[in-house]
Amino acid sequence: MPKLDAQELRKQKAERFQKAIRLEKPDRTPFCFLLGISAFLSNNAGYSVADISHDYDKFFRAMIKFAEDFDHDWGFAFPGLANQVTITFIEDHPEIAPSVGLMTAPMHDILQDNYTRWPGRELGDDIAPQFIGGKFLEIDEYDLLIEDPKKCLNEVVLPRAYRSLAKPDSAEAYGALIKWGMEVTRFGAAIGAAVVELSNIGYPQAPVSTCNNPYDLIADFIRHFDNTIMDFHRAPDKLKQAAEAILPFSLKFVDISTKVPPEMKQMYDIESPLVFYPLHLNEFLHPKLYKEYYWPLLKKLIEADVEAGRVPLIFFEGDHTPHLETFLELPKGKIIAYFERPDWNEVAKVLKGHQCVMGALPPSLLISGTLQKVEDHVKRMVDLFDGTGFILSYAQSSLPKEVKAENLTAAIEALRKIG
Amino acid sequence: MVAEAEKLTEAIVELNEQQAYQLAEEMLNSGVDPVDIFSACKKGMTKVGELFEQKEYFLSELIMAGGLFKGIMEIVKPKLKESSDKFMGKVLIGTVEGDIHDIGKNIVVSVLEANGYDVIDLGVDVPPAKFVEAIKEHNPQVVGLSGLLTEAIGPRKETVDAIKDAGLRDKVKVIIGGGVVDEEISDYVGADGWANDVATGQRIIDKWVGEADA
Repeated sequence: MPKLDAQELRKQKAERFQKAIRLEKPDRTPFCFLLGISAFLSNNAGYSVADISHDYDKFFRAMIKFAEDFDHDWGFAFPGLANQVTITFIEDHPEIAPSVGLMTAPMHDILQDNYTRWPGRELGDDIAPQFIGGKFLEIDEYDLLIEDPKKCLNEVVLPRAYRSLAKPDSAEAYGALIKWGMEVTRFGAAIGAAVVELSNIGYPQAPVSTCNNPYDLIADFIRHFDNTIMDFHRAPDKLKQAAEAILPFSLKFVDISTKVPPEMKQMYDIESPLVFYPLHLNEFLHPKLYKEYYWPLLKKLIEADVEAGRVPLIFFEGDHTPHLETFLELPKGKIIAYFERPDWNEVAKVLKGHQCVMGALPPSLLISGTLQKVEDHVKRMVDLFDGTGFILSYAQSSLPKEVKAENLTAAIEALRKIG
Repeated sequence: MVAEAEKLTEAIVELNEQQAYQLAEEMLNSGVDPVDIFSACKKGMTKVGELFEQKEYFLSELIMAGGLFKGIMEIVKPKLKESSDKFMGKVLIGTVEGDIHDIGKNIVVSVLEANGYDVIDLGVDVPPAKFVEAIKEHNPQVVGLSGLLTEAIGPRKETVDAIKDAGLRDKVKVIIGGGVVDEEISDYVGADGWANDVATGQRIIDKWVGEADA
């Protein structure tokens, strides 16, 4: 078979990926990656996790090597953890708001945020960075958030969450802000270069943004996860009003961060912007709470995306099976539903022919499965969806060091064989 | 007072925080034996566990009930004259090295405690040597290795290996818990059992402890 050049490859892969979303049958099932900083990525390139956490060039070199070594149809890796507490920057500083939506290790060093822990700092060198969140607003302070989310997040939460900004009018705080700005510029340049490089090796590109369900934003960045779960029982009305007060900022954030200037359009092989929603509370919520509180706001975000021609790529953390029925309220073939560990038979039963689903490669298979087992599993999953509306991907955003490279290759070869 | 105890149990099952605290405090102040308050709370938690198994309750309710149970225990526990022979069994638990997440582990701890287990919680990011040391010190029947990250699979195996190397593997049953574990991971790690949810985990532990007592 003649080797395709990068442009032809991108075209072929973009079509495969987009057909899966539209529920049309592609030439073969696409394989995608959406990863964070993880040990397999770094070790595959000869680095430690700390190396790729603190050096963007090393991180993206590792990502490119991974993309070259293991042929996927679309993918990207982010050298950081979510930082959506800055969402309201979108009103006054739309040009920088998307770039500060990620916390990287160098930014963590500058801001001293309490949300994240990093290798080579609070953690050992070969340990993945971790998001642990925290409580930065008391239950009796909800009204501050409800009345003025922008003021509350920036003037109350941020100084509590970022130790460098603890005294907002201080020299430490001003210095930290200037350094943060410089770091954001460096980070933006590194991402830009990585996108070009990925494109040069035949990976299709799409405009990408990330956003949270406001309830997750409250759980992860404002009230702490456990407290938020309890707030559904302790202060449900306040929680709901606060989430609804944040929603306009979320909608605006997605809208602005996915706008592509006309001169940039030619860069993209996939025209529809992808909006990544990593969900967190979903698995924990009783279906009643999910339907009454969480889902209506997620649905509004999804509907706004669909209306604007964007494709929401929603990662349903944990076991999302109890909430599958809500998908039927959405128009067909407009989203990518990325699952971590649902009951896949149930997913096929409810969603086949309705929405494109993604995932299905659990770490256990990649760590301890035989090559035959990997092939059988991939075949079973493709068959389950009749090769339509299914994107194979990793169950989590992280690949541990124990993953066997030959198992990844086996998954790719299985897809080629099955078609 | 029986009526009060029943009301306390009910308040816990219904996740009525205000009423549960109020009842517990009233009972303590009026001289009710703290053991009875404890068992009323336990009864409530057992019912919550049943509702969870029946999918009437989800993790949101389990976390709420766990928080409520813990809060009441903080008031009642100092007044309890503990005697270890009342415990169902002893479980040593921790999130393995390199992982600092504890939501799942904390749910398991509160459910096991409410079901009468003596639980020794080593916290998060626990190195294998610390597990070994704690097994020697506390002599538990069951060791629970928790973790959220895929990166926590390797450290679970290293912990089981360390327990083996210390010659303690036959003395304890090892269960691994967390979203990413399954049969294959359990075999890979060398554990005796695995669970993705607290109800399954507790059932396995109950069975092991029951078998050991029989």
